[in-house]
Amino acid sequence: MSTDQLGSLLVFAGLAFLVVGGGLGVVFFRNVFHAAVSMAFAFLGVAGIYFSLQADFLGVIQVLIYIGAVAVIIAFAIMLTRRGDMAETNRFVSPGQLALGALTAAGLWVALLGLGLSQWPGQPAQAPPLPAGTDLTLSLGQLLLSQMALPFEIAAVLLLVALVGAVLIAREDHPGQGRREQPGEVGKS
Amino acid sequence: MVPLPYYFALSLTLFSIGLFGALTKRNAITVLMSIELMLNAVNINLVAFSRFITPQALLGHLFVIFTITVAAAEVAVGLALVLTLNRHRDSVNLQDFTWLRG
Amino acid sequence: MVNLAWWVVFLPLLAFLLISLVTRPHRKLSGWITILAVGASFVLSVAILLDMLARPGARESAWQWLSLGPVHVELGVLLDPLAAIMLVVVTLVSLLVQIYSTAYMGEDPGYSRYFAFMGLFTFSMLGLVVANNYLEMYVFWELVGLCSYLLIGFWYEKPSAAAAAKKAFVVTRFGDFGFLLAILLLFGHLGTFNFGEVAQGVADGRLPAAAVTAAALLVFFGAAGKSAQFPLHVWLPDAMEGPTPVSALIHAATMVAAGVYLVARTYGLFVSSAASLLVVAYIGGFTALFAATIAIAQSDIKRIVAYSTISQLGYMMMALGAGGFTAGVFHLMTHAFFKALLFLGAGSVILMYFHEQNIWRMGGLYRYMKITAITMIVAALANAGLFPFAGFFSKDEILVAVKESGHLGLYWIGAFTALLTAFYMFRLVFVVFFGPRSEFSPSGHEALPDIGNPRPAQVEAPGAGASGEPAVSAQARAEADKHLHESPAVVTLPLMILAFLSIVAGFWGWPGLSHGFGSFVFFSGAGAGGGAAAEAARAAHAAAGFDWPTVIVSNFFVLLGLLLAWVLYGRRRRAADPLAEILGPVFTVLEHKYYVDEFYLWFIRHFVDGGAAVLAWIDANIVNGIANGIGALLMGIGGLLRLFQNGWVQRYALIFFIAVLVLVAVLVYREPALTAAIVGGAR
Repeated sequence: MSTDQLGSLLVFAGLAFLVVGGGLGVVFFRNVFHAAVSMAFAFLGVAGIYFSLQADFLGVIQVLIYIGAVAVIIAFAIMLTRRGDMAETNRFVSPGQLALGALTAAGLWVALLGLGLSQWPGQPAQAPPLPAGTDLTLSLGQLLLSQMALPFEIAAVLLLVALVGAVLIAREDHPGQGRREQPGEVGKS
Repeated sequence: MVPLPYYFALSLTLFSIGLFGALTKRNAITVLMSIELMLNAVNINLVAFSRFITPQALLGHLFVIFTITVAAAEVAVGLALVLTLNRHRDSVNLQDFTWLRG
Repeated sequence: MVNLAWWVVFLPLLAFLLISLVTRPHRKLSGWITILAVGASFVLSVAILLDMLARPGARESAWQWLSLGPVHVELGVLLDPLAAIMLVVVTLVSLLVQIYSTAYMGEDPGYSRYFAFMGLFTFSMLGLVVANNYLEMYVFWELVGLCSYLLIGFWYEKPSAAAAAKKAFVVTRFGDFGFLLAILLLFGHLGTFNFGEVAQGVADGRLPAAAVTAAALLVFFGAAGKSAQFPLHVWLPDAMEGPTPVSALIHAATMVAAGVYLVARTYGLFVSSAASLLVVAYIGGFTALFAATIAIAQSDIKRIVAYSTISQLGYMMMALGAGGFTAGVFHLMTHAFFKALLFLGAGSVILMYFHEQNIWRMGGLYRYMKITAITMIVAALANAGLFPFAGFFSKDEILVAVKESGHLGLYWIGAFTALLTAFYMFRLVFVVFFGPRSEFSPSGHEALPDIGNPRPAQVEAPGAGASGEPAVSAQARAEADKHLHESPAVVTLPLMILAFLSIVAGFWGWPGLSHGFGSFVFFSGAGAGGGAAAEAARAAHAAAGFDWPTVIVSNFFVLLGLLLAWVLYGRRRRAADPLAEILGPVFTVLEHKYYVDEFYLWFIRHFVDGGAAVLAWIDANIVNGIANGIGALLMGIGGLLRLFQNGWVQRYALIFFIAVLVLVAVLVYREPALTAAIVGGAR
């Protein structure tokens, strides 16, 4: 084993530790806020995995969107729904569902791992090297704005619709009634 | 670069953790977070297979971009629903929301 | 000319739509719209009649309505002398009644609604008249029934009116069922609804004799329902709960005549079956006598006229049954005039006399309302059938027709009914218009405020005092008399026009007249042609003169009835019926209309309800048992499935992923080749 391979293995192990540890933290922390922070670390680990796979652009996006946006609005949601003590906000469900859920997840892990290892037994061990001067980000950008322009636009529309929908769902039912009164707006209704 | 099965195993592990969380947590926000973990696990797989098998086609990367987009939309709508439910029923426990039972 | 008929029919419908959709808030305007529409229809009808007189013969125009494989249903117009006469009669009476109604209904809050319904009714009736096939006629037949329901129940806040409307609808619907069966029977055999084609088919013998008789009797059953023939007559007297002009239009001149018209329209069926003719003749004759006997013991002014209507309809049916097609239709026309006049006159009295309907609370009204009184007397004479009033000619023709057919029993029934008719008509005239004012006459004070919303008809024992009410003081009556006066011109004008017609209409049927009624309307056999038959009928009619024995007999009976009425009522001093003492218990039976209503109720209560109870038990315990068993089984299965549907998303997700796990396990361990094909593997 060359030092290069050893180095990449160590990097992978560290990132895997970050990812799996973060994931386990989401599930096992008792405080939902800690779970959210743990999730942010898992996202960071995933971003590292992307970099290790030479998907630089995706790594940046991962950091921007998952850590910068998703984790933050989840934190907001936690703040908005909090009440009283945060210590016991992230508990498990009833034992029956817990046991069955654990069994199912473990069973799926075993079955799929077996499947994957049987179908791809350590292969391919090496990724084919990229030709010199390859700029994956450039290619991706060109692809998105030419061949994949339509799906790209549709994705944009989807995001817009989802945002409008989210606002519509989350706002107060009776505008002007349940709304918190703004200073200076008192007595207007 | 470590071999492909390492990435696959990592992805599978993260997916299973997410699945376990989604099935067994009370808090709807945690469930949403678990689903995000599952999506990320899938993304790892997509990028890894793309890199190892079709390194220049970039289709895996494209899928990841769309997955992230959909995930962002999903988390926005999902959290909006959670907030609304919390306001009306004063709870974020999924087991309290069973009015659609037959 | 045929196309004009469409306008005749649809103008009143236009009025109905206009009023109900647009002008309902504007009372006066709504009234005028209907009057204008019906007036236009009348003018067009007269044009059609004149054209028909100039060039007699049937004209038909049809438009394909439905075409379902071999079934063709038309929406058409059939104009022949019969239809032309009916068009003029219907539109004329409708027009006069509506002019009259502007005063009679003047104070009513439902004024616009009333005129809308009147428009709808006129439309339906005219459609019925011009229909060229059975199905179209049936549609309008039911529409007419609906309008009758709406108008009888016009004052629907009044429970008795609502009940009467329901009764009328149900009883006539009962008859309609027979009509429908007849239509289906004929269609099943002949494959057509068209009147002419059906008549041709029957004449060609394409229908077994039994089927013809059955169809004719079923048609007659429908006609008996609408024309209030025994035993379906019970609805007509109750229908007097409606506004009086409605009674005049629908329950005297037009709708009740629809049954007679139907028999006349489908006469080809009846002449092919001697048995059905016999049934029609005897039911008609019996009804004529039966209703006339009831009429002599009634004390409600409108009910007397109503029973008289039933009786006269019986005459028409008797004429048709005896082969007197022309006589029946002629009586239908003249009757429309004088019976509408009787009702409108009665309405005029009711309107001015504090909405009182009991004749024993009236008396001596001649002094206050001369026009009403004189026109009523004219109508009574016409109804009784005294020479030279209209009723004389038509009734005489009926009697002649019956005599020629050889039913002598019916002939004498008819003649005797003429006596009764004269008697009850002049009983009404003498009691209402002459003699002293009743000591039970309303003082007016308590009754005046509810003009436009008349109180329920008070059908009490003859002699209002029998109910134990205290007599009204002479002073109060004198006070009330100050309010008594003749009805306004819009009321008296239609009365005078109808009175004029009641006098002169009969002369058209003067026997032997070269262009008389008989050479215009007659049954010319099957089909539209019949040129030779027409010539023969014309010649035969021209040759016939008066049948002098019949003239003498009928006029003698009428005068006898008149005399009897005068003896009993002409010089009375008290508000009590002397007939009640003379006839004793018989009078009570008549007064209660032979207890037919009570019998029906008893029958329904004991037999129909009993049968219904048995069926209800079967339904509740056996049919329901099976149904509930199936339900319980499904509930059980559902209960099992319900365990999975607990509404908790995580449980659903768990089940989903367990299934995924099972699927993966099966793929990996049982189908490795398939798995390899799906997953691909590293090459």
